[in-house]
Amino acid sequence: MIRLYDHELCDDCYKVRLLLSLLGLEWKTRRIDFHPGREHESEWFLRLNPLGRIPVIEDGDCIMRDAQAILVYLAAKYDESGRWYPGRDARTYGEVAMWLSFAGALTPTASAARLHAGFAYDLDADRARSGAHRLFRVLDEHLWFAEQEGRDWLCGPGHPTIADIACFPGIMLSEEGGISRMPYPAIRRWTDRVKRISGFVPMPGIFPA
Amino acid sequence: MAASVVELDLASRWFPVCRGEEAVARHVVHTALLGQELAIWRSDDGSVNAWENRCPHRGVRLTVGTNLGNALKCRYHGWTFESGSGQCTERPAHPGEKPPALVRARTFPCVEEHGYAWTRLREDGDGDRGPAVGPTRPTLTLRSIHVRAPAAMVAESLARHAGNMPAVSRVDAVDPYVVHAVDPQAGSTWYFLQPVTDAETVIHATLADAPSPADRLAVLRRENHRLRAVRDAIEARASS
Repeated sequence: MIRLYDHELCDDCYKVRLLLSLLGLEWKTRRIDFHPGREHESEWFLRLNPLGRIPVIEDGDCIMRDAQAILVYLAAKYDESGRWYPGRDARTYGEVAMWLSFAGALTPTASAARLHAGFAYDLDADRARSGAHRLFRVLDEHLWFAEQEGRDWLCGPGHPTIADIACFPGIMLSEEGGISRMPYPAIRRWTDRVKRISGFVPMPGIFPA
Repeated sequence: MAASVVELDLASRWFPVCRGEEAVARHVVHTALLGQELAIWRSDDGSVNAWENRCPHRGVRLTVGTNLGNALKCRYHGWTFESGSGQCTERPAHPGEKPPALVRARTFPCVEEHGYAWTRLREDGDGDRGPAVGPTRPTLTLRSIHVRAPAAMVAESLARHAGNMPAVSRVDAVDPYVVHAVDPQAGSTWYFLQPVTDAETVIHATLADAPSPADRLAVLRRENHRLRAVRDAIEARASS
């Protein structure tokens, strides 16, 4: 069975739990004492992931780190419908990768501001917040025009993909880092839609629709 | 400009607070007007509510609550407030007990016109039914643009930018919150400003002549691009 090295309050771990749930998979949790124990920097964990970050999954002899990479792996291996990471259409394939990369950019911005506010991380919170607002403006505009074209999701097809799952947690927890989503009405409508995907699970700080 | 008359009583003035079509079913829009946070939500019967964004019970934001279609349910203790009156109809911790008439969400008057939901902060009515000026023909409401600058600076910059466009023959600063740019060929653009706080403004812009359906998206993108450039210029000025 898949083992997830997990922390309940970590947005990157949550997106893995969310996709596991959406795919109807079972998994075992190994809780990492991220705060205050910094277990992700312990010697044993660094052997698993030398970057010292959660989440990590073990699936048989496969060890996978990086939240976005884990989503790709899970979709490729377990999603028989092929909908969560559609690979037939080159443009959609590229677009999903583009928004996975965007999700990665939320880590040093929106997520960093939250780590500063809630977990006493020593970092430049103003810079993290303004970086997040820059990204949120890009996302809000993208989603507004998607709606105008009759699309509800980040990427091409008429259904959500792992791109939506990858971006959702960092956006949805932004207010814990002092980043209001009030200026981003199209983002707020999209987060409502994500919450209504069948099989959606919440986490502390993220309510169901 | 009859600015002084308007400025006297901002609370009596109607402001657009969201594009009408963005108050989608079973959603709660989060915005603010003159520093007052608002929860805007459409009921299943089509009417739009503009409420103070605060549950009268424990003060939690109603925008994290649930739009049930005919009522809004607070996330915290499930107190439920009916569309229109804001009257509390249910308190799950007091089953079978009718909530007192005094328990209600604070509501503001709300009308839909020119493609927007409009509200004003003065609650008591005087027969005034919303904005007095605006386009009369079928229109295209553009993507509303959030600007980190006070409304007065936005209005002034908009009038200047619109005046610099080659085809624009006339710019009327109708009042401190409405700019009307007239282009004899392409028609005219109305800019309605929503003063969110002292430091934030939303530009709600409308083309008085709707393009053909085939051109609609291209026009929306072009105008969005133009307004974004105006926003960036205003923000550069506001932060300098």
